[in-house]
Amino acid sequence: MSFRLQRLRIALLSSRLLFLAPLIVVYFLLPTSCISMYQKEGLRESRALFVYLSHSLVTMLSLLWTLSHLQIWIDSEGEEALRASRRKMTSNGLDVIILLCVYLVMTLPVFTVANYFYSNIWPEWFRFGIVTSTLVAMLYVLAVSLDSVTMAALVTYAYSFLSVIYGAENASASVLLLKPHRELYPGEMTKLYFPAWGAAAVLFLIGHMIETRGKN
Amino acid sequence: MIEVQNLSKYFGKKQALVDINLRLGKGFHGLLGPNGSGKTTLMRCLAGVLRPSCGTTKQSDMIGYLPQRFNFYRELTLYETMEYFASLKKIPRHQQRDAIMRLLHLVHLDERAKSKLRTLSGGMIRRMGIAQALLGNPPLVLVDEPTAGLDPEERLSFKNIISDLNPDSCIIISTHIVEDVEALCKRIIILDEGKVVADKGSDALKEYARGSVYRVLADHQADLLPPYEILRRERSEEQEYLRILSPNDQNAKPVHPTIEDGYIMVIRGYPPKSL
Repeated sequence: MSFRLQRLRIALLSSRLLFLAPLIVVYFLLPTSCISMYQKEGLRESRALFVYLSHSLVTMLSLLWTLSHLQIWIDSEGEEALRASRRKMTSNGLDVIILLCVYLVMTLPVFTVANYFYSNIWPEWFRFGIVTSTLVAMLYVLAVSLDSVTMAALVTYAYSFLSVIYGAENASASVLLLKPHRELYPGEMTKLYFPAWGAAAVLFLIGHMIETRGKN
Repeated sequence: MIEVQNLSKYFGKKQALVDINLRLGKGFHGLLGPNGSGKTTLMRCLAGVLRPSCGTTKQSDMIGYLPQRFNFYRELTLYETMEYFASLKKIPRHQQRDAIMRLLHLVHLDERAKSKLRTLSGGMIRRMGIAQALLGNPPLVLVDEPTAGLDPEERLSFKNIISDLNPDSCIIISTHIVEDVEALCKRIIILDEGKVVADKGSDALKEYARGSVYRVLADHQADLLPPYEILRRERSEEQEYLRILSPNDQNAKPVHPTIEDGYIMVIRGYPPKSL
């Protein structure tokens, strides 16, 4: 595990902007925007802004850490040397899941503070976690099946943006996971987000199988 | 060190490798063949990055592999890249620094350890490629087209580095440039259209061409009996000569053959004179 963490550290630190952008947004932009909104419009609007930013910007930025790792394995021309060094036909699935978990844990302090001010924000964190997992799984499976991180990122970001844009008008559409304009409906977690979590698990499994099968 | 049995590889309907059988031990081995003969496919199968359609390969667990196209993630520094490979090969953390710096010194890149890969030349990247392949002292080292795309100076430097590698490992150098393996490899395997068409010692390959290589005056080209193949033109003392390869007697004294002559003989399918 320590070797795996060493590689993830190298991947993240080498792509400085991709690594720092989510941290800046989560620990600087998100709190300052919400505080500013609270001072101007009050607690309710501030909470709405927090939900909006965490379900749009913070969710979409989660892809950057996965991108920085997968670029080394898929987009660079040295990937065959990497696979030969690792010898076994293993996959990047676990690395991606570790990065995802670190990202979710990274957002916990901000949600903890937000919960203190807004109260009962944890369902929103679970929703955020599930949507983030699904997007990361989508990026991973697309990257390994298309053999291009760039193409996979384009498709995943296109879906995310369309989801944010049309999610407001089609609040009940189940294919649009990003619904930052509103908070969770009662029962929506079991009807929409738990199945999405299951879908994320299946996508990770498919990606893992594609990678471990080796190239034809 | 490595054993290949009945290895075949198909890409769709096209068969890229045909029933390859090899058993290679310590030392340098040359894998020669024209472009498209299946060398890279075989190397990728040996490295475990390509799944054979049928047949088996048995080799050591740790492999050093320098692929034909090696241009790593450009935002990493040279040292970070080596560290990345070291962690993949599970070299203990406390040994990594020494191992990395020793290899960077070997390939004359120790002073560029902190440079980003995007600032390095193609030759430097190839040298880093061989350094990463050697991390962990793998018993099997696969080097695919090591000098492709390098300028003459970089090529010479790279060949010197290769010749300094530990001969206790099994080192397979795949190339279409005979000169790259001529001085190093005692055993030469020639691939053509996916098949092993020759598996000989380098001296035996030279002998294969003995009696079939001639040096004739260029002015006498019209008198030559076909088939023949002009290997190169040579000039000495105001005279131009042709070095030719021919299965027929050409009314000239045969000259000493080289490995390249033997290689061309095999590829052209000329039988040796001694047969």
